[in-house]
Amino acid sequence: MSELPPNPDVVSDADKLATELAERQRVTAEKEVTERSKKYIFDKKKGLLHGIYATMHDRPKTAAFMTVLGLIGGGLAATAFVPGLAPVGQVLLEIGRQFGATLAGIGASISRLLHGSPGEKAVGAMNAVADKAIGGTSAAVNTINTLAGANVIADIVPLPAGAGQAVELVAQNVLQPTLNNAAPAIDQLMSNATAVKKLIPGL
Amino acid sequence: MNETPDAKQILLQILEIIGYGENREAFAADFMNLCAQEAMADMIDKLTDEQIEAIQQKLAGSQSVEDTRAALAEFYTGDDYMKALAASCNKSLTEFITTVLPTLSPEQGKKLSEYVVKFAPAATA
Repeated sequence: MSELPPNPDVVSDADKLATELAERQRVTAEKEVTERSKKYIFDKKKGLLHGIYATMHDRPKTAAFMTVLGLIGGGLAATAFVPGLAPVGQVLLEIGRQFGATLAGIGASISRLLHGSPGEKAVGAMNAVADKAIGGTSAAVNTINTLAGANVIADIVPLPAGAGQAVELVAQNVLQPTLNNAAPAIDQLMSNATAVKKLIPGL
Repeated sequence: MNETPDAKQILLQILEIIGYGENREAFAADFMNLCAQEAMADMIDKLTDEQIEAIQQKLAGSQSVEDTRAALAEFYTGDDYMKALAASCNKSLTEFITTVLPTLSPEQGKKLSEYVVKFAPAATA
């Protein structure tokens, strides 16, 4: 049986569809990363306010001092109050130096992830399990990706400096909530795919 | 990379790589301010109530920058603050990258990796 030549119209439609799909995925991904980033800043501000609120209850004088001086709300401008510091410029230099050091510290972890870390392998394996177990619906795959993301994060956090704190951070703030949110989907998968058990110790 | 990296440029570059879709300048300013605020909060929080009282007595109601610096100088130095700042910067940037990393495409991850590797000790030597 001889093969038919490709129909240019069909090929063109397929290309258009692929382009449109890729653009939609890009927009969705951009929206998600933007929302996550904004939420990070929001949570950080909320955390600072909670800290001051807690101080008000436990140590009212300290909280009053913080408030009166405007040290917390003042951000970089408030560093003018710090003894021995030139305002802002010196602090910005230190922030830049520290950002560089932080990136140097996590660089190897990111590279490991991109070139076949256990976390990355778990993502691929879990996607495959999800595909087989419940037909590869996008919701299920997303859930499993989120779950696998927790493993990825555990792989990324630089352990040498403050290893205990980093592990606790991941366990309390990332891993456990993620596992809790994903629990219903995991239950469904567990009944279909025992392979998941091997990928997620402790479940 | 021998020069001290510019904090704002680092953040803007990361935001471009990850495809942050809103005002990047505002995000970078917020991020740096939060690092400074967190360090400041940590420093003040370490002072005892007695130390706070002593500072307030010295200030006697004054809120001038010079008076406040002088009053605080007895209890901590610029170096103490820089250490607190280093800790808050390290924590915040690590947290932020781990927050957005799972959402990145392989291409974005590769770009981020290539950017980050510029800061590795071998590259800075």
